[in-house]
Amino acid sequence: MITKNIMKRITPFLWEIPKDYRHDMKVPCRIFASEKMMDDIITDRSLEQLVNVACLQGIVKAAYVMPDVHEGYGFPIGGVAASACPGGFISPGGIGYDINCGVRLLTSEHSFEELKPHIRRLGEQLFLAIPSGLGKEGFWHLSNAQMDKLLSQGVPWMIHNGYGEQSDITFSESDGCLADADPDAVSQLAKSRGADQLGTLGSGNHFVEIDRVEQIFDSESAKAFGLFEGQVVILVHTGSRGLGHQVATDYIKIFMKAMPNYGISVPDIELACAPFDSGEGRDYFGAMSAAANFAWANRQGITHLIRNTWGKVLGSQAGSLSLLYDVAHNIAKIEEYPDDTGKMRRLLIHRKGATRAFWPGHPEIPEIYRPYGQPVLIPGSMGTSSYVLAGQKESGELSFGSCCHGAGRQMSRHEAKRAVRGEQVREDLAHQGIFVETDSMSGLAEEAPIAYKDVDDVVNVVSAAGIAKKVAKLRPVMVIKG
Amino acid sequence: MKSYRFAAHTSDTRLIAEAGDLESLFQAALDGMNCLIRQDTCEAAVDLPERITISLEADDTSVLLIDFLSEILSYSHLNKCMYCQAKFSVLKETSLAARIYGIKVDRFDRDVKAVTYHEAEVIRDMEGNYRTVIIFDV
Repeated sequence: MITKNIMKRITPFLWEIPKDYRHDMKVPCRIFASEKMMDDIITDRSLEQLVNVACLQGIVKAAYVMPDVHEGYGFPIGGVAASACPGGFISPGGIGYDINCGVRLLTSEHSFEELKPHIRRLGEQLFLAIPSGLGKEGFWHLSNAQMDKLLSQGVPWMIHNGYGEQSDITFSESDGCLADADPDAVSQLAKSRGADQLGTLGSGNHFVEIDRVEQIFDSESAKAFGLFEGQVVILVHTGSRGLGHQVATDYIKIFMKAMPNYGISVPDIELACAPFDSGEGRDYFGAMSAAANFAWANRQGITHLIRNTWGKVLGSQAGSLSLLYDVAHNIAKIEEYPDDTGKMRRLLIHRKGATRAFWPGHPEIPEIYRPYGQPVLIPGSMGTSSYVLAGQKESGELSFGSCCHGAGRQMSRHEAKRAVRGEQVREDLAHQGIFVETDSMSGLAEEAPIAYKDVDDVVNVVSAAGIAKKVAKLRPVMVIKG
Repeated sequence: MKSYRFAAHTSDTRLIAEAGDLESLFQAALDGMNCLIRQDTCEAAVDLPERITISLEADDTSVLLIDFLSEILSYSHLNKCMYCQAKFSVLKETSLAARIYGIKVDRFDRDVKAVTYHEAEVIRDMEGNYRTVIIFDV
């Protein structure tokens, strides 16, 4: 077990495991956490997993984890790792099986007080409209030709086919499409698994949530993001479904076989990697990008269903539902950062349970948000708050433009189910004015608020570290779970 | 003898499978995975009319077991089927051929995203029993 006494405390919210902690480490490990959070982090295997990441050949500067870190497999959840591009590695385990799992936030024109009489009905109708849970098919059944176009084009393909607005492209990270996507690198099995899953939520921690804006911290940024106090907003959390899971499964197997050809060995087989410029590396990057496009299109499909339902329930008073932003938190992207001499270099940034958080002025941020920083969406648990943050300057220097992605689990699913029943969770939440629609009571127990860290603590760390600033706090009023 | 049980893991699911022989170990691991996907369906099934055929080779038994479960998981999702019973025509340390029998279902309880290689290590104890840990991404 890694203890605090082997770590250097760089700032009150940044800790380092030195490179000489283990002989095979190539870089140090850096952990964003408060003292109190660190006491919890060291109790599971997160940091041992982070040390393994620091051993990857070609990793640049440090292996990072955010304050919502918890034990995963291979990479810890909340991890960020950069490799040279070209010249470095790519690792499917550094992205995860749910490629481009992510979050989007839609803003309404209405206050909670205006919509209060309709909220329960909206929740019921959204639950009926959005296929959730496992094995439920979506409304779109894609042919192979349609699938290939969608995998190449992502959100723009959805808009072209009438499932959204032009601005949905502008306000999605990377315009909802990675240009390196290669549908031919995606197996037929993966495509078949995804063929009926467009516009489906899935289960586990995926959800659609109606929230109200409880508090504004930064009025200028909030205004630019289209947020006001008391406003009703909708948060969507899902990913690339079976298609993405299959892509990751396929390529981890391919990489395991390829590693000896490149003289690569890893301390944990789930860290299997290949040179980015190898055939396997390029194929995976193309397939991963295609799966990321599928995930963006999936969240766009759900947005289409939400807008339809919103219009049907609210009729002439519905108004618009605008996309504030859509962020990925399981992805690898090519980005530019300065080296030690200040010269810009291209790096492949792996984020597994971490959100991109570009700083004010970054050209990849939509123009109207650019002076304030990239919107960063941090969902909490069902019973607590979620946050809208804005990326800040230090994120580029401290964490390769990365931030936390949620509250982070602190309790296993089995432990949560032993601690509380789903019916009790539903009842407790209802007493707080939070209503839940779900088919799965055991799933609800697994996702109970007690299973998660305090999202306020997590957000306070990234805010104090200067990675992102708080813009608004959201409070759930209606939760739709798979 | 064959059995499986679940152990703590913060975000995913850790399963421990044990058995007196290799075939039973593979079946125990499959039983455990099926319990995660949709509890009680396989135990309650009287007839298993669906069938897939699997043929695999791997560098070692641990990888073979994970690939075996991964393949079944993929087809479970694709065909909306619980594949309950494995009948092996070949099962060696690094290769297998099997028919897997199952039943169609309308939905699953849990999204098992993947079977990971993390911590998987098939070991044989002094009494000759096989044992491994398997981490499922859920």
